[in-house]
Amino acid sequence: MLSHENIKIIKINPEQIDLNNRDFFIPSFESLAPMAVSIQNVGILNPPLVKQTLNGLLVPVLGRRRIESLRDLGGSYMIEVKVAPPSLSDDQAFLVAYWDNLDRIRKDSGVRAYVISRLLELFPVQTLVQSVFPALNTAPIGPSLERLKKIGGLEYHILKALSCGKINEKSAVILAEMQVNQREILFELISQLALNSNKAFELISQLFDLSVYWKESISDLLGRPEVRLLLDDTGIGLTEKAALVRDLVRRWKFPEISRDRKNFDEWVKDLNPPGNVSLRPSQSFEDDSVYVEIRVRSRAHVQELADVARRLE
Amino acid sequence: MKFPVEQIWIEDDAVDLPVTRSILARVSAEKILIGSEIAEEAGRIDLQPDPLHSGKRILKLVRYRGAFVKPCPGTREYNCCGLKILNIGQGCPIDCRYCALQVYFNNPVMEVYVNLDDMLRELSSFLTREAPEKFFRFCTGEFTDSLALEPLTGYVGPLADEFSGRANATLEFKTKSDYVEPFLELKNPRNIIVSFSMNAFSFSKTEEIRAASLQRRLNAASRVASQGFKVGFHFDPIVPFEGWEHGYGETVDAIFSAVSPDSIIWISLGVLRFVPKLKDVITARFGPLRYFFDSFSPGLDGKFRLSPQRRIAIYRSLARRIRSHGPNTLIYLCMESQGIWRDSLGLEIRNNQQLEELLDGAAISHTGR
Repeated sequence: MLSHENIKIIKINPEQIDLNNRDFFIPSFESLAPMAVSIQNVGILNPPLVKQTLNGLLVPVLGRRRIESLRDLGGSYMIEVKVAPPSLSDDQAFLVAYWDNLDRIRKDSGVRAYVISRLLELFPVQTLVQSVFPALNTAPIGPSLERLKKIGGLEYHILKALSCGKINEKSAVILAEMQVNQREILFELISQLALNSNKAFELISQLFDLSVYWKESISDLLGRPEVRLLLDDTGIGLTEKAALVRDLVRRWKFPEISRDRKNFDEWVKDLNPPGNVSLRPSQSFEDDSVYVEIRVRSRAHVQELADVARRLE
Repeated sequence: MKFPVEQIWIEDDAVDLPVTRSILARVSAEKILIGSEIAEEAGRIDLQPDPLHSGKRILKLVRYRGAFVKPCPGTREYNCCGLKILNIGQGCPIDCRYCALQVYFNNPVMEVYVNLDDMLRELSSFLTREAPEKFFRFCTGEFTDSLALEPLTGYVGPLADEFSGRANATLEFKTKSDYVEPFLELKNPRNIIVSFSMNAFSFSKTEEIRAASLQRRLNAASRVASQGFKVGFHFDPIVPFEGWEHGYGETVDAIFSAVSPDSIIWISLGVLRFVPKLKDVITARFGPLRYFFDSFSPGLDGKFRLSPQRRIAIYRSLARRIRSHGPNTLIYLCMESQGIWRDSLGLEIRNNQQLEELLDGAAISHTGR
């Protein structure tokens, strides 16, 4: 049990705290800079909570970011820390960290996935559903927890990308399905091309599909000469390069649609419609229909168009 | 066929129904749960990583309050055949890895609607009140397998009685089982169609978990056909795996070896299509199934489909093979557009009505009208 009576307060050098230990770690992907400024100005007002391990190490339960900021600031001075009583078990200590960081866990999908994954390691799912998950508003359904568990096991920098919206949750699920080295290669490509989350999802999902369907690894796909040629070309800008890579992968994934698209574009070019007309094919060229969008100056012209459309019905 | 039923859940208001009693007499489950015990166990199942795995071993007996007669949940964007669903339950003990029902229901357990009297009353009233010139093709195999749970429910007899002698309706039982014994006891094979879902032998073996083997289905088809029943075959989903043309061709040959073309009322074809979520659920349950990673793109109804060119090539190939055995065998496509019909079967099906008329024609002749 954690109460004021059984918490000890001691003064230590922050370097004595083992930040490599992640037993009670709740990730944070935000910059430490504002906190460092605050600590520089007013110091640490609320002492961090640490727990002593069996081999005597002090590991952070609450206030890891405060300690990290302090270390970043440098200098050698003593700070006050609260030491949790030995009666506080490791899983209960993680729950202390959970409740203390609840707001961040709720708001940040990367943090949430990590924490849920960790909680599922520590507690029976039934316990979590009854007393822990309701605070997260997470649907207590097995498959969705499994998905979060997988995402939570992703590498820190990928969770960070999820947290700051560079990739979406669907991309994270696909990345979690891959072998570590394969997802690293794919993730590096996404970062290199500076794709937004939707475009990143398109590329990640299509390349994963191709790797499964063609039984070829991501690294082999990206090692193909036509991809290398594009990626190594220093003469084209990043935006254009990204568009060309996406286009190439789309042609691999949807060869018939890509051909149809090319034919359609050529047909439109030959047709040379007036500037106020735009044409688009049916979804995925499912049928021969063509959507015609015509911009007219006023509603008066619409009647004429409606008459023409009626004749075509 | 025997499916594992480990638990039976009985809703409070279904306890005293005759079908409930008869199911309980026929099955021995480890657990029988009633009332609040059900919610507790359902909560536990929902928390499992794969609730469907357990759900397919749990049979829930329900007094159904909704409509037993429903239109087939087709799609406006493609030609639909106007099938009517007779809703006898939901979920299925067979565990086809590609099954669309995996994302269709919120509830992972199998449900049987045990208020048979209500079902028959609604059906009778529907068929009696509709205009006599209207024709209805019913099927029980949309939300469940029509016959997989038949050894427990015994629905074939009473349903067949309801349809017998009617000039305006047929009832199709669609199955991946081989349990056809109840049909052999029926006196009148008219109005009843026994259909079998078919696939390539190799594909069925790995992907249709706990289904009867294709050969057993064909043997069952042969038995009912020899009793005068019309049989149907449904190739849905057709999956273009490596060697698909040979695989599906082999099955077509086997069908015509087992059953005379005269006994076949129709053969339907439908290339794999799916709502996007299905791929996620399947991948979570079975790992990445290669054929779901083919070049599927969103169709007019948002479902993922292969390109029209590939679908046409597949339909043409199967149709050619079918016609080589039964030149007059009625082939139809499930949820396809006018252009696909024209380019693959050479038929102009411009709208739902034309498709309904095509299938009604075959069904009507089976009623003896």
